[in-house]
This record gives sequence, C-alpha cells and structure tokens, in this order.
Amino acid sequence: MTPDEGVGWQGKALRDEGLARRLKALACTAPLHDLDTRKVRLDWCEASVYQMAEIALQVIDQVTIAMDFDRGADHDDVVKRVLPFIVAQAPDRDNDEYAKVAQWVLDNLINVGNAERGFRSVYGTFGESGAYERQIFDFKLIVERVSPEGELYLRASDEAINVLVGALDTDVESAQIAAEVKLANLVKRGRLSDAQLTAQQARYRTVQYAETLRRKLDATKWDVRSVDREREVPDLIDEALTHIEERYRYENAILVNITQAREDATDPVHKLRAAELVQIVTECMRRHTQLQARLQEAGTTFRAEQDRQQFSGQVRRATVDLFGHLLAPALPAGCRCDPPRACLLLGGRRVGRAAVASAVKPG
Amino acid sequence: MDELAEPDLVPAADPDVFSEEQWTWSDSLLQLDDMPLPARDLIYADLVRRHAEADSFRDLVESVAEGLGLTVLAVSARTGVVLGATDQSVFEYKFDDYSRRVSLGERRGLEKALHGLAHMAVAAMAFPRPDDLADDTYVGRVSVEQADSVVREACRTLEERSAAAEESDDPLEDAPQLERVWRAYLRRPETTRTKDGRLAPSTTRGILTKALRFLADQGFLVKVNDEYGGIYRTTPRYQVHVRELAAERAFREFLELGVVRVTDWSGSLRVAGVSQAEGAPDV
Repeated sequence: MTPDEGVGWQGKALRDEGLARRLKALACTAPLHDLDTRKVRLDWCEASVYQMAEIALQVIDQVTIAMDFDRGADHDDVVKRVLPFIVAQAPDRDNDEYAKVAQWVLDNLINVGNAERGFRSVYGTFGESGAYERQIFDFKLIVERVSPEGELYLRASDEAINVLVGALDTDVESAQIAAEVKLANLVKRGRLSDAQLTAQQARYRTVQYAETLRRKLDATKWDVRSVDREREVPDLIDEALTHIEERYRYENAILVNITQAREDATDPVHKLRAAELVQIVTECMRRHTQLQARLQEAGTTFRAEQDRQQFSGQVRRATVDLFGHLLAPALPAGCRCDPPRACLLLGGRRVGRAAVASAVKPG
Repeated sequence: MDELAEPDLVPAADPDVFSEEQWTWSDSLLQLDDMPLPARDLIYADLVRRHAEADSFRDLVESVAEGLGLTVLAVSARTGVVLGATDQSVFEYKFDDYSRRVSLGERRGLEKALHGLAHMAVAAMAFPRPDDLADDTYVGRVSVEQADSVVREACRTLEERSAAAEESDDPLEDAPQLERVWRAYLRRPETTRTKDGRLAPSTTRGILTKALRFLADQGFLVKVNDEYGGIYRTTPRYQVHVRELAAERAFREFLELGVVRVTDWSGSLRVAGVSQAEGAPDV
C-alpha cells in the first residue's frame, strides 16, 4: 500500500455520517454563543451583564410553544414574553433597554442582516476519495412567514428545536416516540424532576412533528398541484393519523400515571412537579388533537377535490408541459448554469420608431 | 399617428418591389407591438387586417422584422402584434439587464437562476396543463403566493428525495456555484419585515412580484387585484409568446440536454375544482 493509498483507505474508514451530524448540531448553537461575544460592542447599552445565549434559548422556546398548525408566534408577543427573564438578569435597568435587548436577540436569531436570513458554517468530512473536504452547511433558526391575511409571524426551524432539545438532528417521528418512552419510564419510577426535561423534549418534538406535516400539506391548499404530490398526500395523511393516534394513547397512559402521582404526593415540591408534568403532557395531547382534526379536514378536502378533477378535454394541439418540461428540470440544475433561455420569457424590448427607422430594409 | 394612404393591395408584378406606402405600413405595424389592442384603435385594426389579407405585405413585415432581429410571432385582432427577439438580437432582454441591482461574482449566477426560475414558475402557473397553453380561449391566473408555494413544494420534494437517498448535498466550500437551484430557492426567505413595511426584493415573493409586475408592463399580464400578494391574469399576447417561443426553444434545449421527463398528454399538474367553462382557475 503506497502512502497515498494508505491515506485514502483511512479516509474511507473515517467517513462518518454521525460526525457530520454532530458538527452540524454544534454549528447550530454557534449563533447563540456569538451573541455573547458581540454584546460588548453594543453602543446603546452596557450589555455585559446579560447572558445573551440564555435569552436566545428563551426566545426560541417562546416561539416554539406559540407554534401550532396554523400559526406561529407574533413578533411583539415573543418580545413581551421574554422580558421577565431579561429583567431578572439585571433588575436595575430601564424598560426600554430590556425591550431593545429582546429585540436585538430576536433579530439576530432571524439574522435580519443577511439577505437569506440564515446562517452559514463550514464543516469538514472525508469525501469519497478519502480526501478531507469542506462543505457548507446553511441553516436557519427563527423564520418569518406570512399568514393568508398578510401578517408576519415567526416559526422555529428544525435546527432551532434541536438546539432546544439539546439533541442531534434525528428523524422527528422516532425522536418523539423516544422522548415519550423515556418520559413514561421516568414517571413510573417516580423520577419527576428528571421527567420535566423529558416532558419538555416530548412537547418540542410534537411541535416539530406538526411543523413537518404542515410543510408537506402546505401546497395542497392551492388548486394547482403536482401529480407526484397528489399521489403521495393520501398516504402521508393516513400515516400521520396512525402515528398521532398512537402518541395520543401513549400520552394518555402517561397522564394517568402522573395524575396519580400528583394525587398521592405529600411533599409540596413533588406535588408541584407532578402538576407541571400534567400540564405539559396535556398540552401535547391538545396539539395532537388539533393536528388530527386538521389532517382529517385536509384529507376530506383533498379527496373531494380529486373527485372534481378538471381535465381540460381533448388535446387540441401538441404543446409543452411547462411545469414538467420547463420548471421541474431547472430545479436540480446548478446555479452557475444560465437559466436555459428563460430570458425568452421576458419578452423583447419595445421596438419603437427609432429602431424601425434605422432598420436596414431588404431589397 | 399620421394619416396613411391606402396601400396597394394588388400584389406587385415583382414580389420584391414594394411601394412606399407598404414600407410605411410595415414600419407602423412593427412599432405597434406595445400599443393598445386593435379593438381600440381603428388604424391598428386596419393594419392587422391588411396583414392577414395580403401575402406580400406579410412577407414585407416579416423581412423588416428579421432585419431588426425580431420574429413576428402573431398578428391578429385578439393578440395584436406579438414580436419576439431572435437570438443575440439587440431587442433580446437579458437577465443581466433585468436584475441589474444584483451583486457580482458567484452570487450573480445564483440571482439570475432565481429570477429565471420565477419567470418559468409564472408561465407554468399561468398555463398549468399543456392544453391550457394550446387553448386560445383559456385565461390563466397566477398569484405571487401560489407561484411561490408551488415552487417551494417542488423544491421540498427534491429535498426529501435527497434526504431519503442519504446524499450529502451540501455544496463544497470552494465550489458554491455548483449548489442546486432548489436548495438556493428554499434558503431564500419567502418574505421579510422591512422597516417601511415593503417586501424585500431578495425574498422569493419579492422576486416573483418583480416578475409579475414586469410582465404586466410588457403587456403580457393584467393585474386583477392585490390578494395573495397580487393576482394577475394572462393576455392572449402572453399565451402566444409562451407557447410559440419560450416553450419550444427551452424544450428543445432540454431535449438536447437529455433531461426531459416523459409525461403523458395530461401534464405534470392537476387543477382541482375548476369548471373549464368559467375559463379561469381560482387562486
């Protein structure tokens, strides 16, 4: 084995998808820590007293809890809810400053200064050849979206929720199941203080799951949709409904146990913990109920629309499928490629008198 | 417009010799590509009629157009004069001019790709099924939100497939221009909150709004109302334009590249709950 071959072999052996994921998980927390690095440069307040990463975590938490299937968090609401936490860190400052700090943190989690409103980091992996390659990882934390009424609201991305949960990027469904199994176990063993974190994780995962579903079903509200999606949607809805039913049953069982623990508890702290858990699990169940209702509604609407499917009748003359032949193939292309003759869609410039007058006439 | 004398409708003995009037008429017709439809302008209507009736006049118009670097796509009472720019013509509108305010360097390619995608999306939403493009009576409707939503949906499908295939599709640090367009589109925010409440031009809805407004200025679309970010309906000019020029050329390019997916005659999109008799889908 030559030295090169040796490196290559080692490179291949070292290729570790898990490593890439861990690096990405690390990268997602960087913007939060970055806030504490940058706070000393703020000229509108003496910010060293504030723990910005902690405030950021609170902000993400508030946005996540406010998210449900239809809506997200309102910008001003989030700022307001996070204020008490900021005040607690420095009780002697004025209200204006607290509000500005909250706004600053939120703006930075959205990353308003950047056109794409996202974060970019670089991580290294070993490529197929075994050589060390650097790749770009783009992610967002808090995202602005617009409601059908034209109002802006906030949502937390998967990466943001992973930061909250303190876990790696994993398959959302299995992460949700895992959190609830763990919760059930801890409750059964009476480990209520440990259970609190796990219950919160379960809640975050529930939010995350709802979000992934919402994204998938988003486009079904339009009456123009791709054939692929049309085929997939009914299965998607059925699978999701099954998953939700199972979660609901499981949560119900946990709730029974926690409620019992709360009744039986004599120690006030223990009782309080149990009460908190009851609240969190009940909320998970509420979210699941809401999700179930939305899905059933979406399923019914979808099936009804399929029945009313309108084909435009006889093909009058051979023509092009603009979506399938023009738009779809352009999507996987590289950005360096010129949009293939798409400039033709812009139309031509105005002809005008001067142009015609200056034209060379034939003959 | 000046009063114009009746042109000579009798074909000249020598088909290459045209009267002075015919030259003038031809110039006038070509200049009218951005004027109101013939129905509203009697002179325009007259020119269009003459174009239909006299082969010699039609030939003249086409050769003058060719000399200018234009193709005559259609001349009719319904569409008016629709001209297209030939390849490399001075009348060709390029994305470089279209999106001037864009940065240089590697981001340039990305911006052009996104603007190009927006125009393709508008055309695809305006005529979702192949037959919509072929049907002269069809009036398409497209809104900013719908176009953005459908494109994002298509991008997300690709993202899901990429994740399922467990590819690491993250671009290399030293070759960001190889990043696929769908990833770039998904990364762009759909909308943002600006201090003065306007839509930032770099957002995907900003890009689509620009595209729709531009097409309205070109006389291809007409704004209907401000719902869903702005709803526009198509004009016969746009239909002719998309049908005859863009679709054919781009389609041919893709055929050459070998990336065309085979779809059946019904196309890749479905339109739900719309009566064809009404003519236009609800957005």
